[in-house]
Amino acid sequence: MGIAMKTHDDTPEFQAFLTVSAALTGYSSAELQGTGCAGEYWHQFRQVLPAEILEEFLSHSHELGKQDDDRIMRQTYLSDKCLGPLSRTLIQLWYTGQWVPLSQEWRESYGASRFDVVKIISTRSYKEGLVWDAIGAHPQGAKRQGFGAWGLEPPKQRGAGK
Amino acid sequence: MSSKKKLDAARKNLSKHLQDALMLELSTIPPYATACYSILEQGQYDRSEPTIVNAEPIEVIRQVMVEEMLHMVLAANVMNAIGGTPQLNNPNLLPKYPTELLNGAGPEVRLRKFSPKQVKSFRKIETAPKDLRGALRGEYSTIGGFYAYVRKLLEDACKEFGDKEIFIGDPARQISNDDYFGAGGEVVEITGTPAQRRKAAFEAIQKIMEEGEGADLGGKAGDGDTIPGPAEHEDIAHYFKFNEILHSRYYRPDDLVTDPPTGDDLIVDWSAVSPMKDDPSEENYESAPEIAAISTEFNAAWSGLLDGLHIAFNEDKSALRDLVPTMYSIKSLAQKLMRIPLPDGSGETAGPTWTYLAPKKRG
Repeated sequence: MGIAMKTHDDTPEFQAFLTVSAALTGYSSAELQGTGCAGEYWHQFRQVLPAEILEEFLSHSHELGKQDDDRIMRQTYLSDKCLGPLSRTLIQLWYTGQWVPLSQEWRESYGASRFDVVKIISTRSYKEGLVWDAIGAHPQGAKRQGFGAWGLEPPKQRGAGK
Repeated sequence: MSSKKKLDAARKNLSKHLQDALMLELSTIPPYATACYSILEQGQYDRSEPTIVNAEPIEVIRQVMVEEMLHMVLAANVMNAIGGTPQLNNPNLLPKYPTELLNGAGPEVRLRKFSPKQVKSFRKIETAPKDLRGALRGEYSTIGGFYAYVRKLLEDACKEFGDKEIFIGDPARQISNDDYFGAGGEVVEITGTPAQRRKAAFEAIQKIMEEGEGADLGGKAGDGDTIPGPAEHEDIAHYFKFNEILHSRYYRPDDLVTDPPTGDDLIVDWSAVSPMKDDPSEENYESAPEIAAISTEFNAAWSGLLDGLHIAFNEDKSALRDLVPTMYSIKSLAQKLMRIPLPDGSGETAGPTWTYLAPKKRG
């Protein structure tokens, strides 16, 4: 921190993190990077996860993006005893900008981390939560939509040039 | 040539130049907006520092932008007053970047991130002509020279044919302060008797000239207006605003135009900027469909804004009011693009291309 924003992370691990995140959230990897929070979330995720679990979590990324993402998400990630809770926490992170701690049961099985505490990652992450876009609203106190926006349809349904 | 034919030709010529004025004002907005939105906001740059980074240059550029928007409205009012048809969404007339202003005679404008180089190029856009002799013959290379020529065309036409023959436009088309969310200042409505309309038209052109490059201001940086807000201090012309950023110092209104600014500190952090690729274009996104999709979303919003302006100037003034949310979408989508690294490994990010899309291409 303190130096100009690093937008670029070429490591295969970070790219895999984006690929899995895209499949879990339903937003493209470009959209996720468009939040400006991808680096911070990757940092948080790495801090909490033991190395071998992180590796396992990312190892399925090369299977994604081929057609049966939905099946892989359900079978490999969401219904897995270890990866399931992680996936849910990661989805919540992208949608709300908040880290939701893993359950006691998970910690007892896979290890606890001192970084696994409830927190809003940053002021930016609050503003950039995907939930605002998903519901066609804007975060209170930020990213205002402008005078009269309340009388219009949500941005994505508005259509241009009407 | 019969006098009727001569009148038609004079009107046509005036309309053409006012349409150029409209496109000129419009052409400056994407470069200014791009630079402004490339500045990183709080929490994105340095989390240990709670103050908003670069709040001052953001505000200075924003003030210039809203005045350019006002100038567009003023140019449209003059054009509508003489019975012209302002065109805002004709792809053949709209700027494609990089471009040279004044149909190639003026300074080059590019889409680049906030940097000393880019702000210097903005200062060049707003540079006052040294003298107006060439400009009054139609040989201009500055915005000030161009408007001096337009003013002369209008003067000559009024003299030759009479105000009544020139100001034939429907007064109902005039945008008033009630229609315009006037962040940039007061609109000049061109209504009343022909003589009143002539006077108002010159006032509108004068206002554009003074706020822009600040010609004819008696050697002072101030432009005579006050900046709206609690402090109500005197505004300065655009050239000097950009100069403030480059010198990291505000002007006092009494500062001489020949000297550097002597006011308070204006803190600029040139490193708190997204590394956007210079002059981004659709070709940059051909191998990146996900970025192309967001770029299309941006261009659809921009096109919607231009369509809305066209409607507001030609059919229904109330369309202007609905455009405020569109402007916020444009800002938010531009910022989103400028956070996405290009897949070429350069470390540069995508950026808005400000391309007009026909309605069926808007996704």
